[in-house]
Amino acid sequence: MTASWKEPDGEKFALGSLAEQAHWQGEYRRILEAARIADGGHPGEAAATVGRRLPRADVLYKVRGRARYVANVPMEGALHCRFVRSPHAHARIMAIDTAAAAKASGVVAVLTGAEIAPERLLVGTLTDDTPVLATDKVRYAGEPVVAIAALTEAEAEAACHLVAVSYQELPMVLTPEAALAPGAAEIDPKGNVIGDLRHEKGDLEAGFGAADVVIENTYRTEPIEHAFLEPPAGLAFVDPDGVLTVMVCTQYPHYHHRQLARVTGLPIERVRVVQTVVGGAFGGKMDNTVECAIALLALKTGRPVRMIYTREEVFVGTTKRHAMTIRYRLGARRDGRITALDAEYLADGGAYRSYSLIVGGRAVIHTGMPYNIPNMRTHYVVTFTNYPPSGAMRSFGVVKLAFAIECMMNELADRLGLNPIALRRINAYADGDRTGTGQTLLDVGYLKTLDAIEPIYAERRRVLEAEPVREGRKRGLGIACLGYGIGYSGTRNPSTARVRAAADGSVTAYCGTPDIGTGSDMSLAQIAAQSSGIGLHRIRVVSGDSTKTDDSGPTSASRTTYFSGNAALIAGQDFKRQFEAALARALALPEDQVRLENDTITARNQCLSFEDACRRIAGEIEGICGYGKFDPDIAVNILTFKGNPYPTYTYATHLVEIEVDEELGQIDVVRCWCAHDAGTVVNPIGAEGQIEGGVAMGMGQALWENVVRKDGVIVNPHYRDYLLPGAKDVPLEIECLWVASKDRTGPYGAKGVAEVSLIPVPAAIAGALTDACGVWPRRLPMAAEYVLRLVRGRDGRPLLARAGAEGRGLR
Amino acid sequence: MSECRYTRARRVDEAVAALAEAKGDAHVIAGGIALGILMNEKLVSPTWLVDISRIEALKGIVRGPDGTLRIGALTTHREVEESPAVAAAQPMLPEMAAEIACGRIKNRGTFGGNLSLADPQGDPPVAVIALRATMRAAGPLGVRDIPATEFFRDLYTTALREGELLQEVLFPPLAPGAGTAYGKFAARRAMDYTSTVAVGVRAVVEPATGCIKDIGLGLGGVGPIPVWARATEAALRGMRPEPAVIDRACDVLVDEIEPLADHLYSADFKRHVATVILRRTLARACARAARGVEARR
Repeated sequence: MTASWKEPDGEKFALGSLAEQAHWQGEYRRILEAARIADGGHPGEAAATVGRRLPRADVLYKVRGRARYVANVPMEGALHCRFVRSPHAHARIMAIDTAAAAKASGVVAVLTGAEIAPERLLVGTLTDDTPVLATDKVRYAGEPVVAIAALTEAEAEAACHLVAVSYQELPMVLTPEAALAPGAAEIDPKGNVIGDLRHEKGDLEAGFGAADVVIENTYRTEPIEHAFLEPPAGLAFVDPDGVLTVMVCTQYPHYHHRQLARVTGLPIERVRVVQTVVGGAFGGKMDNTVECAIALLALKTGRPVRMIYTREEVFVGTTKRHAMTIRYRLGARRDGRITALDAEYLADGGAYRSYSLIVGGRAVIHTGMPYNIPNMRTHYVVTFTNYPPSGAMRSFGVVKLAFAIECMMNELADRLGLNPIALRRINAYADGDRTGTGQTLLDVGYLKTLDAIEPIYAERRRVLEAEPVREGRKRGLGIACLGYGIGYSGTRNPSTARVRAAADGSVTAYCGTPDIGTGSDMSLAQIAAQSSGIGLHRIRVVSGDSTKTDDSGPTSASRTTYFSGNAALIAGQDFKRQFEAALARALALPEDQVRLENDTITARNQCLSFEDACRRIAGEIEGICGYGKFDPDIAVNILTFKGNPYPTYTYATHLVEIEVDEELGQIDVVRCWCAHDAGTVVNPIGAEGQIEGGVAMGMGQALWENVVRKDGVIVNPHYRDYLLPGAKDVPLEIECLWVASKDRTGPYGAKGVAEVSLIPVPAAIAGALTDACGVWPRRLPMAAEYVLRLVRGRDGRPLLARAGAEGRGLR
Repeated sequence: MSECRYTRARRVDEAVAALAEAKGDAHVIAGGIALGILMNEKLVSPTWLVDISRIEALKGIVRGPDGTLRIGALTTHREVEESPAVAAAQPMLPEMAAEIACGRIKNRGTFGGNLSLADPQGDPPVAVIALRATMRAAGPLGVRDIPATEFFRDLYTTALREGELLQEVLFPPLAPGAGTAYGKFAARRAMDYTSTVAVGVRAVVEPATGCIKDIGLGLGGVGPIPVWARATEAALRGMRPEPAVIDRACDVLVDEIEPLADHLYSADFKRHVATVILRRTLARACARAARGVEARR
């Protein structure tokens, strides 16, 4: 075994050696202090940091190209792993012959599922249903069947072509409708239905009886790829102490830790998962991809094994956003008050369960949000199909609900002759309202986000009406709103944090949820600094190492600022209390005469620097551990959907302005205003980055993104044909408006941002398209041809009009 | 990739000799843009690369005394975009080059390489057809001229014979009263390769009558090869660009092109897009022709 392993002291290996780290940290501290003072901080109040615009610790090495992703973690003698993947969407595996591959040049080991004990073979999230390597049948084209470790990637790849797998093809099931049809081929032994969720509130029929207007529409969305720049990648090795160590870009190291212990059969303390710098995740780095295979191969060969997915593998071999059909029937009175909503969802869950049930649960709970609808019925069905599994992706499906409900709201406003903002006000959730699950809402900032957008909307409306637009083009404004629950749906998901100091005055905050590129480590350090009184510059956050932090759940569901932030807050307070007590004992003072504030200790009449104070209690300091655990009482009955699914909710209203080329069907997003009730904003720079990224991502889903599937195969598995917005497509003006809001349960009043920045975007663009052209989009993406067909349909003209047939011809 | 022979040619005859010796088994590399993509996608695995990137004779932009513009095959898209000589002689070319991919590709990719690839999504082929350029090829038997309208033969296939190399492209001077324009449809503003539709228009307008005396139309992205829209040209030649005439020309164009449906758009949508881009580009070309005539007065 090669042991070129250097203990990196819990850093994310981003900076290499400790000497190198010291250089960056010194540089970073200078920038940090300058930024803090530039933002109105005073040199004398080093710890007052929540709410300040502060640069993140990782930006320096990232922009200079020094971040250490899995691909460039140095590891002598590492083998390279490649998968043999199924070419068939649904087939029985008759035989696997690896003899020729095993003898091929450079091949060190070949792994099949048959070598893994059946009780260790299956992995998953809620349910262990996904084989590490398929053994008896394959359920989607691209499913891993054999793993090969070789000296070079090219040799591993070449050997893959020598593996002979004989398949007996089975009938493919390619849509949820087909999966539910009688006599459909069975994908899973338990049937083709992954989940069938129902919820009722009030009296639906009475609600429709009281309605003056009823609107019924069906909305369809396509599968979406997360499109993180860094593909799934991992490096597994056995460290000199015999601990299986897996370095991986993930949202949830502790999940892999438990799973690897089970799959390898190693005791839990013989496994370590270290998160490397993550090049984007968005929900797509929460399932097993490379982890189990490289770990098993590392154990089999005794050598480090590295694996990095190709881009095509990212498309065919990782989870996608669910394609979904949403049918809504909405009833309202003439005055705009909504009386009833009947919601039916049919989702394509792909080949395995992954996060399908979580997405479904969130859809049920968020149906109708952020509107207070007295009578509702919700029915959500998700089925298996022979496509890659559908899983978690930013907002867990709520982006599609927002598209549907906001389009319905616009249509309702149109039918009733009401201003779209006024209609939303009439139905808005407010403090004290009870949700469909029976939860009483508090600190609802939704109306404040409408208040922030309304004057801008009025002003832009005036400007657009006054300014001429180029011939053939139309302009429009669209608004869309959301309410979104923070954290896991309806299950307890505690976060913990620990704060410790060393005699030299350096402080480490150990946080269970890893930073996946959002800047959460920075926000957590700010919160811990504020609550402990320690200067921010001293605090280094260690997160993402499964052996150094407690399992605090994944960084997902917009939960890190709120859950881990609260844990960091409590840990900081606990540290401060213990630290002051220890120092009081050392100085023989009563405890209430020693105060740690603004990075300085006041002890009766004297002042001590933090370093001096640490030295005074050098014998004790290492024993002080501030501990914080935040575990709000969250529970929902999964049959009735009654209970408190989330500790708090965030709200937002987005306004977009677009220009439409009516001859080509093309939409330009010109400007975007994003009003958010995120509670207290811990670090506005980070929050703005989230919003800008969310707008770009939402634009992609609104206008272009579509994993196109045909006959069981993805036909556009690369960025040439899977279109994302580029820098020239994203509007230059994205304005963030933080409404004055404090959550009574959040750390310093914070709720979080994250996913919600994406959710209203496709809906707002759809609303703007309606405003501009008088057409009603019902599908995503709103690609040029789709928009043109809508416009042509409005005018009663065919797509391809001929002058001969139509007289006047195309314009 | 297995073993690959590599020849760095310093002169055109060296390159031609190597190509002749290879008997069709060699790949020419200049900027390497398309070749790199094809190799990455494992569609091509060269066994012999003939590197022509150092051949000085293939570089440069020259405007001859008769007004002919000569662009060497190794000229980069960026040079085409930024050259004052090109802009003065053939204003469509910088307009076209601005539409090519992105800055990095424009800095590296060559004009001649792109034409030799004969990619139906490419931009330079559209321009050379519209401008009636001449493709000058060097081969074992010497130099041979091929009209641009006859250069693109099949999917990724040109009129170049085995052992021949595109040496330079010659653009005849624009006639008095000519206006040119280049228009392109793409799904995004970010660089696009898939599903683009491009139209190059060269229109010579008779000032007295306003009639289109002569016209050149090239189209990209509407079939397996870059398209010379002969029938559409005929529908416009000698006519005044009035709405009824343009409507009729669009009907002809719809029948003349055979775009392929892809995962983004149907063939009919692309036909429609081609007519819209033709209308817009033709309008710009005619307006420029009129302005040019005014400027000369």
